[in-house]
Amino acid sequence: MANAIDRLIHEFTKLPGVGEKTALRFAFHLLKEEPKRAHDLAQAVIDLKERMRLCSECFGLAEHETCAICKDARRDPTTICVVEDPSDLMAVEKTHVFRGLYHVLHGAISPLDGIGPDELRIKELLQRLSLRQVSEVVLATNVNIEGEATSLYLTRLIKPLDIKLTRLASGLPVGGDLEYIDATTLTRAFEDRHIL
Amino acid sequence: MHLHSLFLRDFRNFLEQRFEFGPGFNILTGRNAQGKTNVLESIAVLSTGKSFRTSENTDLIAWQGGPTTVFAHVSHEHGEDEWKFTLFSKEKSLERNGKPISPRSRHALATVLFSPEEILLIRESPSHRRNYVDHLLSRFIIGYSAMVRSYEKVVAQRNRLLGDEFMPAARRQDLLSPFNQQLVDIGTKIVGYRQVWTVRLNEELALQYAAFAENDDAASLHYMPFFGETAVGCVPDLFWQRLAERREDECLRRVSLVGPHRDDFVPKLGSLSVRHFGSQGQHRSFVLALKMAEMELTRKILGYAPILLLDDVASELDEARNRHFFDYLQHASGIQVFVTTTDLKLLKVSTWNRVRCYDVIAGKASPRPV
Ligand SMILES: Nc1ncnc2c1ncn2[C@@H]1O[C@H](COP(=O)(O)OP(=O)(O)O)[C@@H](O)[C@H]1O
Ligand SMILES: [Mg+2]
Ligand SMILES: [Zn+2]
Repeated sequence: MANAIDRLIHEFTKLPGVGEKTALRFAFHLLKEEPKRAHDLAQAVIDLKERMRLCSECFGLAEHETCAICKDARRDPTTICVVEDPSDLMAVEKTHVFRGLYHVLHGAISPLDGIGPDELRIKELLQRLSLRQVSEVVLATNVNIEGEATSLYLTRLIKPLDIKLTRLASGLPVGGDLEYIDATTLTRAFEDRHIL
Repeated sequence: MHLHSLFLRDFRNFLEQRFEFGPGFNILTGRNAQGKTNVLESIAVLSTGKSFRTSENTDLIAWQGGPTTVFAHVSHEHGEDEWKFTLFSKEKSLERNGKPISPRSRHALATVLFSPEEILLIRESPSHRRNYVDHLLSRFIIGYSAMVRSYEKVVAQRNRLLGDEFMPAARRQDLLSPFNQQLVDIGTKIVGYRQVWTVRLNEELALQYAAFAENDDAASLHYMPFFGETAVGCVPDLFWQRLAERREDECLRRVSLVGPHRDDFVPKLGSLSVRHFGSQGQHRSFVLALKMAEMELTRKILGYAPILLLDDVASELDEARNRHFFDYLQHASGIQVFVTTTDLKLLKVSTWNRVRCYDVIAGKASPRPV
């Protein structure tokens, strides 16, 4: 078996955006640090896989059965914001503009990638809407063909339920993942969301 | 706009070459297969990021070397830009002032090319003409090329659904519907732009063509939208109507049959198609006039003339057309022109003012007095 530093470098290079050089820097940096730092990092990595799971309510990331947002009594449970990915949820959270709950679909409809409605948490969303008192659903899927298709698909399903349905204001850069849109723009898109 | 210096390294048969060009006419002379067209190709590459002669980038790399560099200084009213194209095996990059730039951007280097192969624009499939018009419009309309790419994505998504033979029909329609909405939304915008801009292009085209052939009927690149030119109604309505009509057909043929990806632009003289009824001379005049129109329109909209690249035009035109053409170019102000020819005498240059000439022999160019 290769020595520990080579193994660590090899593992680092598997991460997105990390090349050989960066991996080398990370590894030697950790080598120089106190043992506790390495230990904390290792523990955090292990916890990520062992402790993180999907919230049974919104399918965002959670450490327990339900996530911190779903559990937070100060959040408005009658408004649900639908996003594609946990990273989009985090982007919206950072703006502090939204005080309701989320629903994470885990993707968008894209026949080219073999993703249809059944591959997404759409059934679960409908179930939530039928069980809970929800007065508004905000569709915050990405501003691209697939995100738009997903929103249109959901619109057709939710419209008949007599729930107020809104979409983030246009004016967001086309082709953009929510996670790459700056907070000011995203906040404005939320405030100016329009009724479908 | 004026490209005043050009440097080539390991580009085609040029191993290392520097050119100093003038703001007016720049002529490249030499026998066949010496590298004249290669020089025009290198300028076109700075503009479009690719060759007009090959789809294989690696063809551009000198056989005995590489990586390939094309470097140019271009001055315009706001100052000077450095353009650089590099190609190393499959890696290519295009930069303006050291920053990457997309050739589809509005800030791309504007060139207009006329080469013998451009005649094919009339004879080839509608997709060639759509690409030609789209490329032109992306120069004028912010976001147009992104719009076309989005539209193509919608078509690709639909085609995947239509091509899935195991999908139950009801489910297919269910999944097609969110893409149909976007097909119509984005497609309608594209149709709108194409309608408006072909009218503007055709105003210029008719004028330019008339100057070549005053007895012919008016030339136009006639826009034929996919829903038919005689259809009445607003575009989205016609769009939805056609989608409904072709629904069965689309499932049978498994591809998207409705939308501006089925548009055509038909070259016409009066009401007759040039392709079917035009003589060889008319074909040539038409394409040349189209290029002139493209140049005049660009000049009106962007405020400067694109760089004109003329490959072997002299051999393509008869003497009268030749004379007229060069006369026009030399009197139009602010146009920088690059011309290749095997024989200086073939060019009916009306004045030797503002003309520079390079002799090209086996991948080496040297200035030649005129
Ligand atoms: N990648 C390449 N490396 C070296 N020479 C090349 C390359 N591609 C083409 N050539 C040479 O360039 C010449 C053709 O140049 P071209 O510009 O088409 O000639 P012309 O002067 O007739 O316009 C030919 O001699 C050909 O062998
Ligand atoms: Mg040639
Ligand atoms: Zn939750």
